Amino acid sequence: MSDAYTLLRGGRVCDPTESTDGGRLRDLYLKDGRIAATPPQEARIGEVIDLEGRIVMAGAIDIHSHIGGGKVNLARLLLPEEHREHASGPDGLRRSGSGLFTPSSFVTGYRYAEMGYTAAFEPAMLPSNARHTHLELADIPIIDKGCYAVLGNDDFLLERLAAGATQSEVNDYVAWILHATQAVGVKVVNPGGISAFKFNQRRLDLDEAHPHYGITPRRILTTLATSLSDLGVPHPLHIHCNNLGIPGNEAVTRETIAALDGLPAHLTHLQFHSYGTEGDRRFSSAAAEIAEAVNRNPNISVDVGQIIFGQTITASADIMSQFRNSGLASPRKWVCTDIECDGGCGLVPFRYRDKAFVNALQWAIGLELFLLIEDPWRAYLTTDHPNGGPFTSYPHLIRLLMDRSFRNEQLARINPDVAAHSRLGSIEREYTLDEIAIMTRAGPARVLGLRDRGHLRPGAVADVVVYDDLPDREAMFAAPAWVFKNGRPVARNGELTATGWGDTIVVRPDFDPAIERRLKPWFEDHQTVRLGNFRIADGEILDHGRGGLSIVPILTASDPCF
Amino acid sequence: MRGVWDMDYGLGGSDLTLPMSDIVCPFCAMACDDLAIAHDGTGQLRVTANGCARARTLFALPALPAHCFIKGRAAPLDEALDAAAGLLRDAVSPAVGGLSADTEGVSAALVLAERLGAVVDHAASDSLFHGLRALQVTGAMTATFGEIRNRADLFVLFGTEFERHAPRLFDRIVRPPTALFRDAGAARGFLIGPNDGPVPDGFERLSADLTHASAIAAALSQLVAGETPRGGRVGSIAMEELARVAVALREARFGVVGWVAATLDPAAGDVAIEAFNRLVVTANASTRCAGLPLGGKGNALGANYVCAWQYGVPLRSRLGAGPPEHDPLRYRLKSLLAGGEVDALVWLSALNGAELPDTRTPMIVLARPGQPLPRDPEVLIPVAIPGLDHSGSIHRGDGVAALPLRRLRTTAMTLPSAASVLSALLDRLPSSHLPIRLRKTAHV
Amino acid sequence: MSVLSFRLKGPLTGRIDASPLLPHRLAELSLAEIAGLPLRLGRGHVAVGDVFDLSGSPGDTVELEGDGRLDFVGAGLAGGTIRVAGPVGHRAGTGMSGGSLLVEGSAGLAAGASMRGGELIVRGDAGSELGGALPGERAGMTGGRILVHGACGDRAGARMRRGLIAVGGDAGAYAALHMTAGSLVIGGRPGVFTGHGMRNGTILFRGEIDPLPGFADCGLNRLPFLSLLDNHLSGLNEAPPTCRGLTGQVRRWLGDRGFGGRGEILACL
Repeated sequence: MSDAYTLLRGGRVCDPTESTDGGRLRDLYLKDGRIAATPPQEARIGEVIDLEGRIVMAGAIDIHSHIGGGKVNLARLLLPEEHREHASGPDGLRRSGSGLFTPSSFVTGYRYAEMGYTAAFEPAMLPSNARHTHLELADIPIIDKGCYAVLGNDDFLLERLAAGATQSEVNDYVAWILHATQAVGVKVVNPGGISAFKFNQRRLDLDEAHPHYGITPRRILTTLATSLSDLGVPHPLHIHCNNLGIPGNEAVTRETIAALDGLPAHLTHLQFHSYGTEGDRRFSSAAAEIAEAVNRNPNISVDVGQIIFGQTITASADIMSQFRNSGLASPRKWVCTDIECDGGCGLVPFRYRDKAFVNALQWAIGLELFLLIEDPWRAYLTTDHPNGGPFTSYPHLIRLLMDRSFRNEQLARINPDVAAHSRLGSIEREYTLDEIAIMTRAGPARVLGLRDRGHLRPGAVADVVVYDDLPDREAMFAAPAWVFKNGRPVARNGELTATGWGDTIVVRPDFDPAIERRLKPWFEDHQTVRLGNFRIADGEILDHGRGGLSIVPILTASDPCF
Repeated sequence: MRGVWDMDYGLGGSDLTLPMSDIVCPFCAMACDDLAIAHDGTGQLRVTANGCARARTLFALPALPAHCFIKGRAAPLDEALDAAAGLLRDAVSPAVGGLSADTEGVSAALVLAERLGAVVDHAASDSLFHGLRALQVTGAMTATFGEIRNRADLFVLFGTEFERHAPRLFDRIVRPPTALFRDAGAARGFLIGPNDGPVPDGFERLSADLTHASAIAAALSQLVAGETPRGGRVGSIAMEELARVAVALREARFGVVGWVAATLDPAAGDVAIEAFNRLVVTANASTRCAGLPLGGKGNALGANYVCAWQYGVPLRSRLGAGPPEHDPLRYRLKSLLAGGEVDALVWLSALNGAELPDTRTPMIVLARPGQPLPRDPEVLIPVAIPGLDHSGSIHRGDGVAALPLRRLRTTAMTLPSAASVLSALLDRLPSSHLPIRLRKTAHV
Repeated sequence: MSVLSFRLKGPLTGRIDASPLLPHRLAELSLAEIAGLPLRLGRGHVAVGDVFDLSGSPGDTVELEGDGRLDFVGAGLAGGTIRVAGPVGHRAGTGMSGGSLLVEGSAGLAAGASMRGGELIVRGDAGSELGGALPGERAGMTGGRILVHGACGDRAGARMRRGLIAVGGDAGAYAALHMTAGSLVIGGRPGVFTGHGMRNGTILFRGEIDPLPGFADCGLNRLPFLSLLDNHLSGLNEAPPTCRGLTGQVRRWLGDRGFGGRGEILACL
């Protein structure tokens, strides 16, 4: 604890939780890692940084990015050629590392920090892989991090649902998983579908009965969404819908929204779920229909999952879909693993080509979604790193959203048929700085329940980013003038100046421990790990001596729904 | 809320309760976690249930007091660390090998390697690289133990001495007491490999020299795809026998093609595994099938994982001398030692499976007490055994689960962990990047 | 023609990365500047001038005294000539795209891996993975030619996609492993498991073999292409003599059917 303040003087503070007038000039005081109210006259000011009208925002939050865990690590091992091409040695401050779309842990933290991101969330932690996931996250410097536990294909849940478990029992199980895996949310991936693939079923629609358990994806979805709502977990069910990537899947996406019937939910990488079957290639954009459904359903938040042209890898728990796509692997190698009565891991390297109609239209679909969804509080910026592209492409994506002429220039360079099959060229909207701030900070913070992040009001964690207000928004967001993490400067002009360790963010809803009376024999009789060894103790995270555990408060009746 | 947390002994420094159950065995890649361990209060542990012969032997290693040694002369830890640092400071071609340790031990070894600009490799990397090279060029289609025990109705296993390489495989995974989606007792399969004794119930052996494994797997792929390979035999197996295996794979609901990497052709294990993968993928055209890598000791897979997530490259890389550089041919430690290419070797052997190389290369050895040594190394620092003397984690060989290790005993003479020794060693090395020096050749 | 010569001052004390010693990289430098260039040795570097005595003048030819610890000789060569009077270590000619690398002695592991063009000639033996691929690459050699007078180790031409490899002596196991196209000519005897995983391409040698079960016997043939190949070889200065005359009747095997392949093994009678 120090008694000195850091003063960031004369910046244009862009905090949409306070105002949306494009940011007004004011001073920011930081103390003990937090934003402080304006101090009394006699307070000691330690450091003063003159911002000279630069734009100030809270640290950005990546709500969905595959940054650590078994799947991500296998992707690194699968692509030595990528790591030969992109590698850096130690330089006295940074540890070494390699990879661009499968970056190693240290460089992941450095790059996020240099771009002004102060938190990122691993969206696909398999409970059976939780320990490995947290070990990797412990090696990501600077940023805060958290994970969503993947449920909805785990045999325990499916068996209990088939046996008629009550909502209350499912709630206890979901809460138990959140504690045991040190997660901040729950994600469902192709509900029932990953499991169905293990029984040799190659497709599963929303209202189709699972070949063994006889329950439907709809039931799994709605039960889990209800759990998270009942438990008061701020982040609603994070949904990777059925039929990802399949032309015509816009129907199941809209049916999924309808099935939720007002329950809060978050639909992830929506771009991959917004396809129609029109035109002679039987592949078309349904972004308008999907955007309309999102607009009409205020209980739904989404992240887009924009694709970026170039080489990357698709990494997903959805082995049903990834196995089906394996023929498209480029280069032609891929991984598919059936995992621990839990889920799966599917890795398919992929190159998005701007001259290929399908890829170019996917690019347009993502942008259409961004531009047609009206409420920036409910649509967040992601590429589903690395599935759509590396997270280092976010500044480029921001420019596409803010600069219509740049966007149309890109549209003119890709496969020429796309312009005729997409309304992108006619959309005039340009995101404002406030909307970017909402979409990359305030919105994700709110939907995750991070009350002291994503804004710059007194009491907030002092994750502060200062940008030069450049007309080239890509250059602006790629190299912030300053980045502060917990009040410490960590980057200057897009280059790391200090390192450190962030917190692991978790949620801990109450539950009835009687659920363990069912779980213990389940693990003993049917799994290959015992219950006591399955879960992650707090000490396993804290004993690294790197950052703490930050517990997100449960929503109570008086809290607004995100 | 009480509940499952009362099993939290041994993690994060709490005291022990007896008897201890659900203990993880760190001594091979099966990572069985159902052991019961008794403790006699003097630091002597004993497996009372669920351990294989190796576990029973290694858990019973006494917690002996142990000195450091410098060239065979007993020395205090500080002196030994100074001597080690002196050796490493002058090294032009350092290497960090063995790497038989828990996650934290490996991690500390890699930090040291990065500081030194050293080559890193694991003692068991020949076997490890059979699978890794195949993964790098073709990918993999596998399943983990939990799926296999509950689903697999057919096993085609390439290997020999399964009891040694994958202890309790048959009791825990092939024929577990219960299974969710199949009749647990009805597992059947084929063992393909040299004759090494009786086969388990439900299995038959197809005798073969495992250097032919790639050709056998390729022939099976043809058969599963409905084609007829040429000739009456493949590597001493009659084609009609292989045809029966192919039929079994096609008719299985969830077939498993497994292999013990350490028993494959040392020069071409990766070729075989690539062929196994092709066979698995071929079978998945119409039914479900998955590969299963078996065997391994010394947390080899875990060590490779740590290197990959921290540096983006697998083992057999040079760290810290510029960007990480992976080269499975040029950075195979056994080859480097044979060619006299290493002038200082740090050898980490806190677990088993990392027998010291018989080499004249100056070595700094961090080993559990009682580790056999072919000769006195320059510096010997005994270290604690993860999973017995301190907590930590290791990876299981099927690639997904990482198991927690606990401290099962404390004695007055508890040795330092490898991670703490490596950290202390790092502190004695210059913190800035070691200077690039131009050196004259021997001739001048 | 200007020749830049590098004579070793003594036996090497460690493995050295000789990749900077390419004619086009050195052509504009003075001898003093070249002597100051760093070469990777272990975790650090050594100056060229501490390892070699330099003479001659930079141009399009480099002459090196050989040593089995010189790795990456000619790696990335795009033009010009490198002549090595003696052996080279590992990864000679990796990724070369043009020019000529001549090794009078033998070559270690992975010579010519990922080659795209140019020619690599080894008068002695070549180690395993000749003309193969770098870790993770699904294609190895994609162009150029490799001519080895002696024997070669295992996996010659692994994952080859285009180009020509001619080995005068015997080949080790797994020749043309997972080959996707190109030609591998063996003047001596092929080793076991020849053509495993082959998808396309041609392996040619003298005498019969009993190939893998994935190869179907397509009977005896006379293939005009073989005369063309022989003519081509006759035009190459360094074509191994035993690789000549592989014309006439061949038994043609098609496979590796275990991998859906339609490559050909041609056993010249």
